[in-house]
Amino acid sequence: MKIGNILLVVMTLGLVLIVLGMNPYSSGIYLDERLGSGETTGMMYAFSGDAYYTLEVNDPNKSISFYVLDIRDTLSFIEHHNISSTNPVFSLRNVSKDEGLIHLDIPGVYSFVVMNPTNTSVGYYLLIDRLYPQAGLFTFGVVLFAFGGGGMCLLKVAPRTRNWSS
Amino acid sequence: MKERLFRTSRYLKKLLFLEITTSYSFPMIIGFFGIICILTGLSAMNIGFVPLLFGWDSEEPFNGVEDVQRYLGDFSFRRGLILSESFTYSLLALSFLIPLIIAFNLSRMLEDGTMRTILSYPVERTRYLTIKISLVTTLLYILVLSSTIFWMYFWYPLGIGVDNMTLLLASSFVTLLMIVSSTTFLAVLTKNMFRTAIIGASFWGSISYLIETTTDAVPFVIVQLVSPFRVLKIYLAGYIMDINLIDVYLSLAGSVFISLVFMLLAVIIFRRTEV
Repeated sequence: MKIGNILLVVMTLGLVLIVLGMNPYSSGIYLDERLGSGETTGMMYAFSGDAYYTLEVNDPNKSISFYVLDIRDTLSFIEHHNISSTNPVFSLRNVSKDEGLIHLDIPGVYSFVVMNPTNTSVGYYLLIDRLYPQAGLFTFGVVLFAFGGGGMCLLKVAPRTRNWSS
Repeated sequence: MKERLFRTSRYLKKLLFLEITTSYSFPMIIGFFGIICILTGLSAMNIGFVPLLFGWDSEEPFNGVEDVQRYLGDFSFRRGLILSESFTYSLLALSFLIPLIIAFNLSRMLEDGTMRTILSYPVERTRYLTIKISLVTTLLYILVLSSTIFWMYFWYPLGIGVDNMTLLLASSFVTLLMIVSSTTFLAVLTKNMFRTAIIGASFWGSISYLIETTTDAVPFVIVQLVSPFRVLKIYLAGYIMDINLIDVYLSLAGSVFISLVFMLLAVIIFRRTEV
């Protein structure tokens, strides 16, 4: 196979990933409720890529815990009700207000779990938004596209350079 | 008998090689690969999911392991949906693209004298045209299918089942064959690249769009004959129209019959055509 053809394949793959990385597919997650003492609530969802979370407890003196679990841990957690036996992808313990990024690089079904470890009821809201373009797909796509495109440009220029040197 | 089979297969291989080297270029195949990859990827990504809420309060748990497993089982059902949606997007795009490919491949060859050069080889016209039709159909079908399956497993790695897989595969293939054979007929009839492209793309593009987006704009008998894939989708959806599995099989049989008639007519005209 010619180098030019390989570079064309790389460039096309890059273009495909760029387009898919910029596709704003499905919405985020919003939870706004009150959890009683020792109560737990979670939401399972097909998810991938970077997500931005905002978590805030209504009363700043109270706190909750927030975990992101993959599918295996979710099933184990639902069965045994024991978070310490799981290995969360992301965790925040006893927070009253926080925001930041969660990286879910492997596509799949994840659960977003909120627990109230305190003895009193707590009102809170949790907002999880997807970020666009999707960093994993988009960045990789740009790298491939630049590599393929740059290589093809070099191939076009290379014979002329040889002529100059000769 | 064995030697005859061997000779025939060698002859077909040569014909296939001739067709690939004369009608297909690497950038063209990669271009189609890119378009189909984007379409199938987008359709796989855009399948909506309803989140499942679970948890427990002081009294009792809600949505236990069984409910979660049922929810996960739903992903198998979703795979069928992804497959059919991917084919829908791709078939809509291919309704415009196939006439352009055939206009470029066949009509242009008839127009500019390339066909005369090819037929100066010991090539039988019937077999050559059959190889041409089969290759376009199979190549595009494999591209769509492999790309869809890749995205399905990339985005939703759980579960494996797809309901009515055989019917989905068969109906999408026959729908593709229908577009290819009728456009080939148009190409050998007109022997003109511009006419084949414009008439083929506008006819198949508009009819595919109407069939996919509306339920009553095109009479159901025509939908049955033209797009067994759409008939299967209506059957699987269950609520759009009251049809049964017999209608799906009838649609498949009808479409195969019409495709074969178009192929036969194309071959007859092609054999008599002055190139």
